[in-house]
Amino acid sequence: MASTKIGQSGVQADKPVRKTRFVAAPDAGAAPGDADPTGDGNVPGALMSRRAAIGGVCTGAAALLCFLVGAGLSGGEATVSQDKAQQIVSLREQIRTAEVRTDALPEAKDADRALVTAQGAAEQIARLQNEYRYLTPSVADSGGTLDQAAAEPTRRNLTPYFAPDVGTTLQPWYLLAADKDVAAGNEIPMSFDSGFKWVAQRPYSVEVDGTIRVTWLAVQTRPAAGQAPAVLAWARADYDMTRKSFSGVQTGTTTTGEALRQEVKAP
Amino acid sequence: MIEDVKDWVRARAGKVLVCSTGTLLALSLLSLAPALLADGSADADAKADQLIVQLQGKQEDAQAALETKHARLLAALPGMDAERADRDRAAARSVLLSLTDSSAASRTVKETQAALDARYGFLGTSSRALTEFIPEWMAATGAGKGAGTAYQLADFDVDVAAVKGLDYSYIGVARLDPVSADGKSTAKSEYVVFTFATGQDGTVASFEAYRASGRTRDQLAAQRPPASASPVDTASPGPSHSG
Repeated sequence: MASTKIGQSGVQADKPVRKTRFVAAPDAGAAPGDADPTGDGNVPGALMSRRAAIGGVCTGAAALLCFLVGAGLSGGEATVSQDKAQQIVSLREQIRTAEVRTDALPEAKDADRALVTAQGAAEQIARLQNEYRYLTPSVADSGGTLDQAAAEPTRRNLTPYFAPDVGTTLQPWYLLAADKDVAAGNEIPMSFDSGFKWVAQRPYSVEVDGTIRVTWLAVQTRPAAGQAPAVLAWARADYDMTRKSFSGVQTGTTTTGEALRQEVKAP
Repeated sequence: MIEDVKDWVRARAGKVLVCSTGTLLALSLLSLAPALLADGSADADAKADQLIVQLQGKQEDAQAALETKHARLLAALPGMDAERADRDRAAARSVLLSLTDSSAASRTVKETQAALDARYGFLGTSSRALTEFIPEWMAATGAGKGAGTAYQLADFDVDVAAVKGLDYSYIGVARLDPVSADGKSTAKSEYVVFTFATGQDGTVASFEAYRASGRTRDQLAAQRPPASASPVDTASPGPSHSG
């Protein structure tokens, strides 16, 4: 409100009649001493009275101060509320995720059927990964390079079991270095007498996000006398019962398995 | 004519100055007003806090509804007893912690093996957990040299792997994060793969643990999302309900 009045005064200042009123306005705020009713306090030759100059400078300084304070206040407020806004967005997202998952959880009979399908797929994957063991001698001979042409049939058979973006998952998960000395036998991959084999776990439950997790273990087939077979490597993946494929594949080796591993270079 | 204007301005220089700076002050007050009103920012903050509390309540409700429905689904699935699986997980968790606690103990490998052998009947002399895991774990974590690294179980993910009558067997992967008094441990997280079986009465019948190789550990650490990325998934640090 005050500012409006000052603005009006500014416009009216052009009219000589209102001269005294114009001078009275800043007088109330910044420069009480400027109430020279006529403005005749000017020393001849000087541009303005000292009081007017001081008043002007003070008002200008006050304006600058207001600008700075205003800028400071709005800046501080922004950072505080941004944090909270982020928290609100994240909470809403979590609520939405939980609600969507609750709705998407299958009925028990559908889940049971999916568990059987997932197990079938998991066993096929174990069988195909076991096929790769047959290539170990050639990988060892070529310094860790997988013969892509020889591996192609297995990779092609593995493809439908995985989501399209699984990348290197279709490669051999683990090869045992000692397998390089195993005789090729009758050229049938499944008759290859490897020192380890992949075994698929049977899934029994559904995760909270509606997927079915399956773990495969690579275990020794010829453990030392009196010892249980060691786990050399493992793989884990989530089976999507709608898409009927595995994704989120994670593979790893144990320290024992890593020491006995035949390295396969990335293609 | 121009001279007249000049004279006029000169005569009123003081007023022109005061007038223009006054206008500036008015404008700056106008710009300051919203910022001051947002003192109102305190008000908006209070409202945001209120909303956050409301949303937290809703989030907990939604999560609880999901967990209830999930537990009902698991209970309805044939083939395994979900409650028993939960009890077995708790038992295995305590065995795993006993094994991994050796990293911060001052005992030698032999003393640790003897103590664990005496405590757990199922860890025989041919047990890989005793003969391979313990010596390697203790060597890798600096145990027995005075300042071994202590680890806390950060992730314990177990699935039922087979059910044969009343005998259950499980596969699990655990992540152990280093802890230190000042919270600035330089050690890396460790991963342990373990298998165990429980008998009819729910007692642990066998337990084997394998430390993940350094290569795997680095891979898994790289795949791990930052802690704040998925609060829903990290909300339940306890044993997973899977399996």
